[in-house]
Amino acid sequence: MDWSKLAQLTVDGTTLGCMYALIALGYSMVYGILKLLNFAHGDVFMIGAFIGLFVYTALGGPLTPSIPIVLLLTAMFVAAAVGCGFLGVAIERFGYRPLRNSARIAPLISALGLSFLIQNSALLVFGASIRSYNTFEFDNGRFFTLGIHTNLVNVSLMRLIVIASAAVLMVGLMAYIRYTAVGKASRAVAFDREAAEMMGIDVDRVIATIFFVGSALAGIAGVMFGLIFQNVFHYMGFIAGLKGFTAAVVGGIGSIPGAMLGGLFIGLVESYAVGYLPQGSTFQDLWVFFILIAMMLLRPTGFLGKADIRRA
Amino acid sequence: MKMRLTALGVIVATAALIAASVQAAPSARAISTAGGVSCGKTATIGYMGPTTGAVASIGAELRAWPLFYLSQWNATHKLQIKVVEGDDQFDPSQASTIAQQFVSNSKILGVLGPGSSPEVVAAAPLFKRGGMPYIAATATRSTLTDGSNGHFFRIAPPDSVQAQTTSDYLTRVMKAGKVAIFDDQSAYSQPLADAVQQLLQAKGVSVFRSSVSPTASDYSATINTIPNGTQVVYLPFTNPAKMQLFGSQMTEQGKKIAMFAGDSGYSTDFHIEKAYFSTFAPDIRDIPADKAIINAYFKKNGANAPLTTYGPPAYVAAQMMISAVAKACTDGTATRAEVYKDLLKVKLPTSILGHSIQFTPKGEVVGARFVIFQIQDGKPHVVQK
Amino acid sequence: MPDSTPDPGIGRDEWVAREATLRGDDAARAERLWRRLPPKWRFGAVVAAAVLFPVVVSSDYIIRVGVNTLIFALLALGLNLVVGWAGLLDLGYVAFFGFGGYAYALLSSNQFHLHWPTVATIPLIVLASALLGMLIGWPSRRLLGDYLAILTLFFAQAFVTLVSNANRITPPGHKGAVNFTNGPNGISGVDNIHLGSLTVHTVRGYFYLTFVVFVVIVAALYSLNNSRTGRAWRALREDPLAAQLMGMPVNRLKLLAFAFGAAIAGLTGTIFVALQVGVFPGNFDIALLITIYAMVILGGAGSMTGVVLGVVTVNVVLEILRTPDPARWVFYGLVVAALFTWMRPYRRLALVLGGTVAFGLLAHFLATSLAPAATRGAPLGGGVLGHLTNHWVILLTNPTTVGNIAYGCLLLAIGFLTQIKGFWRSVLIVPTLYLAAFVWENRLVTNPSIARLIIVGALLVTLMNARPQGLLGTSRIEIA
Repeated sequence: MDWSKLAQLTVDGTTLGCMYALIALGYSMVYGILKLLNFAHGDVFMIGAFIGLFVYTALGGPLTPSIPIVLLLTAMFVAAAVGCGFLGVAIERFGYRPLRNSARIAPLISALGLSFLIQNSALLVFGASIRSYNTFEFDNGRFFTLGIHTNLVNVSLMRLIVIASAAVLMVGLMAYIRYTAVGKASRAVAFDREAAEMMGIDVDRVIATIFFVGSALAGIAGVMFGLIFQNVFHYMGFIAGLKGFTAAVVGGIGSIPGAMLGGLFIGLVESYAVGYLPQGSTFQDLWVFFILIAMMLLRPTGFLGKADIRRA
Repeated sequence: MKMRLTALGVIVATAALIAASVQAAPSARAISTAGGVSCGKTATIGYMGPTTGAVASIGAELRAWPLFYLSQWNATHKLQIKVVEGDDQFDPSQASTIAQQFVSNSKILGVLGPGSSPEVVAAAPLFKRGGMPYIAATATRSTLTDGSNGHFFRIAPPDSVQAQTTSDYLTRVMKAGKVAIFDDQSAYSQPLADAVQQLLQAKGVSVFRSSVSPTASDYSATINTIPNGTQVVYLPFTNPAKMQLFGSQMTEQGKKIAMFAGDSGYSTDFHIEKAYFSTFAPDIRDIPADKAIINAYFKKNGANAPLTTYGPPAYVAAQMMISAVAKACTDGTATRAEVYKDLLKVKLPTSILGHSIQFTPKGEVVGARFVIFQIQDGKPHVVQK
Repeated sequence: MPDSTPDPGIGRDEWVAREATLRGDDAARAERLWRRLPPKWRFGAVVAAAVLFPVVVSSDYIIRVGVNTLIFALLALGLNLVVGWAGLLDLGYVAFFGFGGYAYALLSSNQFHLHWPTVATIPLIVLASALLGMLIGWPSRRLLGDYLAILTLFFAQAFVTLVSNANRITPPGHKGAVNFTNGPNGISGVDNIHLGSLTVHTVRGYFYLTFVVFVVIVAALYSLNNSRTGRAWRALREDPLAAQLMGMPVNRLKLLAFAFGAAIAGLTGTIFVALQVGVFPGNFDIALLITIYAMVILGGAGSMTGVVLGVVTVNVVLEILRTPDPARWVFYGLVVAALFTWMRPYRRLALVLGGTVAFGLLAHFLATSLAPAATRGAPLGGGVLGHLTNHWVILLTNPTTVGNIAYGCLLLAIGFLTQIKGFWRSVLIVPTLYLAAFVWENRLVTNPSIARLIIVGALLVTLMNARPQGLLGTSRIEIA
């Protein structure tokens, strides 16, 4: 039994899983409130990665950062979160709000169109070449040579930072939803929109806030992706979005702990499948697909989801 | 009144569409122009490449260099060459439609492109039917010059030559007994990886073969599948940034395995220390005779203009095509058959690639070979000519 | 954007009032005019136009565009069946198209040295595609629209991945790998379609063949639409629960819809591959799917005529966008036509257009006097309109960065415009129009392939917001 390989794959899977979880949170929250699949969410993730890249290069990274590295990382996260938050609100305002009372298919198609539009606008504006964060050059590669390096497993400092930040964010989000007024309002709107409106909750505002928070998380996930996996390009949101959605479904759509669990699950399964199955690497994106089908057929509500009773 | 004016609006739009499509239709003449196209003052060629789409960064370079040569030619010669551009978006069905467009346009005497092998295969039946000579700068699939693709030429040597050079270097110089090969499921990468695998296995080397998904961004799990004791990882990916990531993640996980890449390794995006790559031209920046051309190119296109392995062969392709067209046009008219015959006759004593260029009857460049580099101190150095 | 719903007045239901204005719609009026012609005449007109088209046009390229249009039309009709008639959002439709194509290539090329006669392969492929459609549609029995969409999207991805890698699969019991699909390089040298002794190998031949298939499919779909199954699909689309209560076999209907749609796509795939003399994994990407969706939505999901109209419009526009000068005509023509349709009264329209021209001339004058070195660009492609715009639009020598910023500003401006109404909207349209022309000339015209994708995406979003029923569809009001 090759424990080293298992341990390394677990670490890789956890890192991936954290990112998928952050994306899945956005999907889950939006679906919980609007019962709508936000196709454009993956592209918000992509834009976040680009915003992080621009802040990073503007402040001199990777070779000559003009401010201390901790501040640089914080600036990237904040910029991506804020930028993507506003982008999410704009997407909701222009893509989904006019269609709130239309046939179910209309917002889905609008979402498809928006996703396509954002992807290709990014292609037009940023160009087609793959840009790299080059964090391996950061501070002489310190972020990757430091960390836990044993015979069993290698975990670089950058991965530790990412996993830790993701954990903090997820805990923060759960606290936000449970304890703040806005969080309670959003839970109310998710449960029964009309009743919430009758109780005096400004539904439009709540929805906009949820979109902001979900998209901000996706933006931060984008920056994390860039920090660890370097390469950003206009198409990266598509597959990440699909996997994020699968994570949300697997964990139970509408449930926040479910999205986190689902994300970790998907990340780990993907890693193990690639590592152990023959030709696992060739079909890397398809293992997630099989999990989704299995879930759909065996347990459509996911791990932590509640059965969705559609009231008239 | 309201309806009539709305209908007027619709009619205006329709008229605009019809006018536009009439303008877009190339001159309606039969394909075979027995009499030839008059080209005393201007001649037209076509350019087809993946200007946008999945490999747009390569496409930008494949387009910039021939257009650069064109502008230089037009500035110094009486015969002005015009170019009709087509963007196949790295999609074979678009390549097929654009090939039809070029063939139907009787003014086009020759085509530069397409950019890669599947597009060549898609465009070939149409070019063959229209008797169109076409030069692909970097389509390397070995079977393209087996005679079934009409008047096809290419500048880069085929995969079979690269596979031979690579496997030879791996066994003879690097003495590798255990190799892992990954391809990225692209049309360039897979046949090359297959060929190298076969040659290595014939020499008794133990080969672990797998591939990475083109949409995958994380290779950590894949790297964990490399068997212990592997001495070399051969990765002929199309994208240097992905190879850079692969190499960096190998270092991150503490695996010290030598890397060997294909043509795309010649790029500023790929700078893994001590990695090797093979490409079909020496670094043109090291050839003194090319300095003037390189400077003029950057002056015209800006300091960030692309220059990796793909530009120089595209430049040479333009050179060959335009020389042949000019030769065919010396008597004032030219046909595609004439241009084809002249392409077989054109010989450039030197070229930007550092050696003479002449086509074999099959369409390959005589004596094309691959050069092997190693990255030392962040810069590529030739280790085998 | 259309103006707000009319005030129903006292004593009139809002819903009824909305329906009345819908029926008075221009497009509906045009359709009624068309329907006043006897059906035989309508049919004859279309057939005559199609038959004369290859005779009148001598350029093979235009015939090729015509064949492409017919192929898109067939695909769109199949998608219309699944999405428009049965209301199932199928995002994996191109996979059936690919399946049909690859199946034909495997049976009629040198890949396995099989060269079956076309009369045998085509029915077999249609049947196989229908079975595959049922298989993929099987999860639809329990899934809601969004989940089905994602599942089918994954299936499309899986198909492309499978086909790109099926060149070294080792079937159980077989020694060594078998090359099924030749991987990313695709299968080339596919046979032409031959029916008996007749081989189709010219573009004109393929045009006639595809048109005949098109007519047959249209006739079949027309009768299907008016049959029990068609009515059952419509009931399913509007309210699945009510349909089930009325005793309709909802699950079977869904499977049937998938099967029919897949069968049409498979058939189209065979013609497409025979035309292209080869098949590649790159033929079946997401961009194709979104384009077909745009065509169906533009025409009006649910209306066959609308869908065909949508196909013709979108395909012709996309083809014209390949060359810069005709593309310019189309761009300005479409902008003017859109303003014509939406801006009332025409006095306001004239003022806006005149204002835009004046604004542009002023801006151009200011820019060229203040920064002559930076504004020395030339209009791409030349031509009459190009020369006119040269004096109106600011053309930069280095358009990339400023053009990109302008593009972002344009998106913001359009978004902002949708939120305000009245006088200020008309005023702000003027600089927005100029900005649009600026972005077009400086960035989009030089990147026609990205421009076409952006246009397709924007088309989908705009249609859904402004006119979800497309050109000829029926407006649907969902009672929550």
